[in-house]
Amino acid sequence: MSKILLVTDSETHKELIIKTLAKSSNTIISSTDENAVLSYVEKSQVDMVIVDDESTSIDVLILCKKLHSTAIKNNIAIAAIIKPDTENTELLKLANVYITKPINSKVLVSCINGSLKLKKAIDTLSTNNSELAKSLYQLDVLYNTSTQLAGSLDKQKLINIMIDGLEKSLSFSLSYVLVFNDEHNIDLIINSLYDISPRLEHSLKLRAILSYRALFDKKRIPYELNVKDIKVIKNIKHLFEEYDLNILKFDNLFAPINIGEKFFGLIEVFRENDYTQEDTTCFQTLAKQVSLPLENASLYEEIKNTNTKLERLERLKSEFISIVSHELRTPLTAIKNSLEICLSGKAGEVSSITDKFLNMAKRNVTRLSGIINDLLDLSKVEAGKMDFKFEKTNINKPVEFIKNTFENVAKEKNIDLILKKEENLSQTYIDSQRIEQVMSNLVSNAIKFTNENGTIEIKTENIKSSEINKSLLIGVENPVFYDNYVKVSVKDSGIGIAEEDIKKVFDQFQQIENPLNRKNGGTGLGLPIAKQLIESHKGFIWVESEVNRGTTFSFVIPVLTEQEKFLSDMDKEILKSKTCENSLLLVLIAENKNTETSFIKNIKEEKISIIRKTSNTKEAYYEDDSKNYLAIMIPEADKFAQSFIEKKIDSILYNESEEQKDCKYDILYSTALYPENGKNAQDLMKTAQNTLKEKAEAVL
Amino acid sequence: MSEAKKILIVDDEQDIVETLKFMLEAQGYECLCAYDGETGLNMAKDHMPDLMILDVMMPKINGYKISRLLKYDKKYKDIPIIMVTARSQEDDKLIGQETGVNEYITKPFELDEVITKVQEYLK
Repeated sequence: MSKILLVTDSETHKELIIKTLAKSSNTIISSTDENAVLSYVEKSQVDMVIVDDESTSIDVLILCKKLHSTAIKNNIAIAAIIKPDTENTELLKLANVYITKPINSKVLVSCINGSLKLKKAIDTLSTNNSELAKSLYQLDVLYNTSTQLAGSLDKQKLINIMIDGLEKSLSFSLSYVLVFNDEHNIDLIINSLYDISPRLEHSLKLRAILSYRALFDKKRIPYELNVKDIKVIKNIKHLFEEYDLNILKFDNLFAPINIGEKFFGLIEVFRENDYTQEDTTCFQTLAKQVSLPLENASLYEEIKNTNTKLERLERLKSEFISIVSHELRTPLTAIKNSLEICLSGKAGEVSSITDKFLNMAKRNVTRLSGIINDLLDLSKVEAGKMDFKFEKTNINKPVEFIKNTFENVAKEKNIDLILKKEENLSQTYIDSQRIEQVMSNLVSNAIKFTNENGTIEIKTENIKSSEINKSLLIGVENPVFYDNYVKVSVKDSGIGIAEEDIKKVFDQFQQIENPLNRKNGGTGLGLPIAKQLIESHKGFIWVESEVNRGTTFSFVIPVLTEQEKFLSDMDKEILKSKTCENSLLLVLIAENKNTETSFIKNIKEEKISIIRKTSNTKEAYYEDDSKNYLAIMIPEADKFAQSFIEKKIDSILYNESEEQKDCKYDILYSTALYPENGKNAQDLMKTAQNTLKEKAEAVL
Repeated sequence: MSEAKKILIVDDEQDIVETLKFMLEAQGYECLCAYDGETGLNMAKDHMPDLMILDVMMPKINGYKISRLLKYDKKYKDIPIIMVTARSQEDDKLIGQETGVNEYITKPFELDEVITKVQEYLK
């Protein structure tokens, strides 16, 4: 049923219209008072207005003008009854429909009903629309909130994000969140539009406790909660007004917040207007949504704590080993010295039996110092504190040295110690002393576990990366392979290693755990140390064995080009920079090979020393088909250092004497900074190469 | 043979001092001993030993400092110093060289090793 307002002072028209429209069960009111009409329309009390252009007591055109905008806003149609020959085009424009006189009742009904139907349709549409807009907004807030929630691992922040999201989507007046940090650390976070009275604060505490108890109903409550345990955190928007107890009469929504299975807290929000079903859904979704990130946050916290603890323990272990070993050395020296004095006979005559036991003591002291040295080595190499002196050399040298050292020991056991060396072995970057340490360990082990009359064969050879049986590498994370390697193997005809033990041979203290091997002495640290030392060379060590047939230990060291070696050094340096958040600068200088005198070599010898002096730099000289390169890395450099060094190189390269001007374009340089230009040595080198290319093209 | 050569041993570990002293005296050297850095430094200045055996970690003044103080002083710079220490990292050796130490021996050492070195310097 619709309400129609009729504006006419023609009684005939009035009578006719009322009679006609009343049939289709419409209510018709009539008025010629302009203010009354405006008020009806403004308050949306009518669905339609019919104006008659022949009214004399009221100016219909002015009325329509005044009605126009409000009518559109409130979706109220205006129908005008006009003379057929009217020249009042303005009125025609303002009206939604018009009916010409004389009034035909059928036309009138269909016109009016049509307009009313349209109005109804539009009304429904706009209600739907606004509901849609509202849920769209809520969805948007939900989405944004969930995105934010996913991005944070801080509990306090998560709670704030949730409250913020709730405020945006539900526009509450007051909310409180009860959060259990732990048993005696309970926060009540109150977010409120206006200040809250002390009375209200107290009753909110009580309410929170009651809600908390209600949550668990008859089940046991996790913690007993007292008012005095609760710490209140208030976030008030406006302080000029104050809420009192009456806010508790507002409509409210309530939800628990869980972390996984565990209870974390609860939330309640109050609002003056009632909540709709959608609001409730939205609220519950948000309260649930916060659970997962909160759980993540707790887990993250736990992991972080465990990690710090582990790191501390690891450091303590290293420090402990290092301190203990140092401390042990001093008394050990005193014991050793005393024994030596006794053995020398200078402190009095020594009987043969005393001599035997003194020698036994001395032998064991020597063994003990060996163990301490092993421990120290392992802790050093694990902590990355061991210094290596890498040199490009032939690995046959240290291998041969160890073979000669052990020749006599092997002879005593009547073991045949053979060395088959590859004469054309590629040169590799090794620390000979460390390789000797590894070899000495492998060979002494081999002798220890080989019976008399056995054979031990040491072999060196060049191999390709593809020839390494990757399944034999144990405990290597993300191995990096180079193309070429030199391989050293020590093959014995000894007792062999049982299959289940093979995986453990490189584990620390393995031998100590194995009583069978114990009688053979040693700490069981030799192989773990060897593994660490070989891996510091970017190589791999592995073992193949057959019980009672023998064991073969093999290790490979990559054959690196100068460039590869430089890159790997740079990566090491970058790793160091990372821990102290330092930068690193790469300078790459290239010259065309056709240059008559190698300028780079000149620079390398003399000029770059200026750069070199600035800090602890390393450089590499290498070449490809057309160019010679000099790469220099400068640790602890920043953007300022970069521009300083660029200026310096500019002055060296380009502001020299006349003769060098000719070759100006034969030599170019570029720089790249870690971490700005690349996250590892490869990336930095690529950046530098690209800059060089661009520069070369610019010159052409 | 003229007067016996004087060797000053400075180490806070009395047992080590004693064993060293015993062996060196058996070789015919005269030994002076100090058990902390300060006394050691004063004794070096008072007695002008022909050689010093010096520990690193000691109370009051450490071995590096003593070595530096003596080696940068014209009057004492010619006294050979043998550094004996439980510290064996490469850095420590470098510091030793920088402070002018002549020899660097790490604990645990062989007494014979020390004696050979001493004989080399006191030929």
